[in-house]
Amino acid sequence: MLPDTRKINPTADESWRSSWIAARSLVAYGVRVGIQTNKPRILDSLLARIPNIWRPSSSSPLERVFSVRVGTTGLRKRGRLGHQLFEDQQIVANSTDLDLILEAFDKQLKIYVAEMAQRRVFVHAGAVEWQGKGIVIPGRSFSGKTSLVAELVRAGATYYSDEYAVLDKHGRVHPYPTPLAVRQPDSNKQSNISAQELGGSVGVTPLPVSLIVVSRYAPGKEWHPRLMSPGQAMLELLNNTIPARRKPEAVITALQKAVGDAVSLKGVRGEARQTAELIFDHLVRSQGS
Amino acid sequence: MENGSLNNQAALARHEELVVQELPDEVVVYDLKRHKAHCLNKTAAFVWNHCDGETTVTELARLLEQEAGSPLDERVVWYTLDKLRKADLLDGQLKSPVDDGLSRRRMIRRLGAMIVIPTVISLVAPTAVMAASITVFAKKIACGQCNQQDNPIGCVSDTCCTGNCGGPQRGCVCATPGCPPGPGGLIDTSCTGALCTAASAAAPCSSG
Repeated sequence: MLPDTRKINPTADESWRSSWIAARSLVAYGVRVGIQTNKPRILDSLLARIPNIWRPSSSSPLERVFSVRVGTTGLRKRGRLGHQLFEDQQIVANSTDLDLILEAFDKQLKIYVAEMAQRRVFVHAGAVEWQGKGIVIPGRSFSGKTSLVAELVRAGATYYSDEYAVLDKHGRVHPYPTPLAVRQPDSNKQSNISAQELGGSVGVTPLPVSLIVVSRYAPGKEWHPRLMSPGQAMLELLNNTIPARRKPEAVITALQKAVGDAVSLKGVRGEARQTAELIFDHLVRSQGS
Repeated sequence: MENGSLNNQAALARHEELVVQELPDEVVVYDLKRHKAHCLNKTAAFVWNHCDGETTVTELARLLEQEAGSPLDERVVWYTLDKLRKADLLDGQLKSPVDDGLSRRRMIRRLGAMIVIPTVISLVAPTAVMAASITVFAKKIACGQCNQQDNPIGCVSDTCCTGNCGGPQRGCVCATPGCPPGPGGLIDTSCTGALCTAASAAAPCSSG
């Protein structure tokens, strides 16, 4: 049964509300959102794109409503009418390519929960576990996070995330187990690969951070990282923290705990496979010392 | 004012609208007003923690000297105060010595291994969109128009293409929604830098 769209957005006027005929309410990390569309068949496409962190929700109020309005071909002078994505009633994307609208929905929803999540701090980072030790790899897109995470998983690490290190107030990292978004060679296009396809498994329990690796890929380079102080490591993490400005006190507390017992390394790296081996070597050596 | 009297001044640390996190040998400070974060190393943190509005520069130099266990002069304190002032971590005004400061290189030469060279590392805290580093997938937008979806430069609202629509490159700028539409001319914004490169040479412009 469809939820009452008035429940989703009580402030919307009747014409706005009546244009949506398929909707769902969802919750993740204490954040409640609604998604709705004017074409019921699109709802399944929207639901297929959302990470499995989301659960159906029946309670209100909703904090944000994402709406996809599908245009109809052949109605405009130039022969096409664009599709639109709204956050509440504000248009955030407009395109004649529905795939781009769905992609925008995916991105906006991820950012929204990453910023608004309760009791968690989302850091843009890869995360894996190896022999009980949490490894966090902060970095923006194109820094080579996913390829390094993939190699670590192939080499025996347990997968936590290739997108967000989700920290609690104790600085422990929690799984955010969406598939790895592996970029195709010489292209911006990404394809999803599960940890199982890489021969690995997905973590289930929170774990303390033992190693923070700040790196950038440069072809042909060998990884000779320098040690960072805890304060420098905090700044590196903060630079990739989604709610840094929204809740700085909670962020600073979580990051301080995360770096507390961790070794933090920074340096340009070469191929991911070789770097993954060096990371494990480093952990083995630090265990022995 | 001579250096002697300048050294009788007392610096006052700013505490309003700051989140301060003490670490074993450092202090991390988040400036709620400017959304900047600073990491003060041991020496910078020591000086900042003694900026109480009463301890003079000369006294601070003596305290730092005791901490280091080696003789130091006031220029080390001035160097640190300059770093703290630039990071907006001091209240009030201090008149600093003219042409008597130390460059980092001279400081290292002078201090050698006596103390940790005072450093303040700063960064601007990212917005959610910046931290999420939204990527762009060859979305085309018309020159003079705005792209609300794929953001080559990570704008919070959207990106507008400006500049010479007939030229090989167009600048992308952050803009608020509602930019006036321009003439047709699709360009490829798959770049992630500040400039948009032209779409395929065969058809750099077309009606949007």
